[in-house]
Amino acid sequence: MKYLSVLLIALLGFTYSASAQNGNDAISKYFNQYVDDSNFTVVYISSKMFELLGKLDVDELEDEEAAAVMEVVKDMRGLRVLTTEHNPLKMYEEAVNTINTKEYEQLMTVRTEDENVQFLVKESSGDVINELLLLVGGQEDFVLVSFIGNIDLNKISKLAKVLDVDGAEHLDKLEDQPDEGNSKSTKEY
Amino acid sequence: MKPILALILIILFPLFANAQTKAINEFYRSHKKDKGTINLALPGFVIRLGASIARPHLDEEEIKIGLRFAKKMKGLKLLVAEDESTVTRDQYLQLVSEVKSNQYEELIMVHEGDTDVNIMVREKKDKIRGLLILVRESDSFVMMSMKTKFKMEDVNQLVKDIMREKLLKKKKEEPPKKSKPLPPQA
Repeated sequence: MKYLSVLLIALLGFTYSASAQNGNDAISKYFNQYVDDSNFTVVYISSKMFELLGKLDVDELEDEEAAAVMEVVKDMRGLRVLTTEHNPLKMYEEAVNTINTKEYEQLMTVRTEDENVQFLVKESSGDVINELLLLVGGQEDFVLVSFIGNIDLNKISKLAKVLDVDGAEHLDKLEDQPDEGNSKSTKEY
Repeated sequence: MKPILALILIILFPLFANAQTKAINEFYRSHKKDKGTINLALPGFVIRLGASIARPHLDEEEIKIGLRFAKKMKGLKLLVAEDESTVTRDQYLQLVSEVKSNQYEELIMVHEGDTDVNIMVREKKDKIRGLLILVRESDSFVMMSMKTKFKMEDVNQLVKDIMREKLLKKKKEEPPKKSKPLPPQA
């Protein structure tokens, strides 16, 4: 009986890790749906890339900007970007409806005349979260950026300067967040 | 019985080793003679020899640093097709999928309009054994496959040296700070 339990736990563990690696969550499915669509720009940086970057040692250098970015990057495990100028508002609504609200918690919403910006987080504890999802929907474009890893909200905005992708500039808004970390906020302009 | 088993393993070992880059080699062979395609296959010793000859003649310190890395290269395969690539997107995606099943791991993938970029790496025993860069557009294609034996410490050193060089350059380009005039002495 003992062996049977161990076997069952191992089997369940394997199934869970396999499904996690295949990315069966809502955002992965949503992302994979548009990977080959020529109307979309897709960028995927794997955990392997971040693992290799994490091994780089730039502490000895006097380049403060590089050191600050490496500080964020070393705890990251993946980055996915999906953007389109094709039906951006419809795509934004579809993304919002696809997201499992039990999985993600809304961190911040910014609504302006031209666009909606939403920051959502997954499994957070204090200032450190496991996934940060940025959704931008406007008249001109739709942007989805998913950061995976142990992400410190106070440091993530440093990536905005080096990430040359549409929508990354919104990360600066996280600096305006109150100190309580993932407390919800809605702003209208 | 044991010596026979060992002999079989010794005979089969090169086949297993070769299987890791089989997809790349087959793709290279089947497309190297395509119209308008430039192909280049260099063994490691030629790269090392070329790098050591070129190094003293270069002025750019950053390229010199990069060439130091060439010592760790064991081979290079390059396919470049400009203006009239015959590589279809399906063939491209099939190559990516086959390479992934041959121990290569994806680092970066970009898909924008008709452009695809994939960068993949094969790591074994803490050494980067293979680096593959693929770029495809509607009318062009580039495949660069490198057999290497880079350690992460080598990559670290390369990044440090290049960044140090850039910082030095930046400092040289900055105009010298004007020194403040001393306060008049009483």
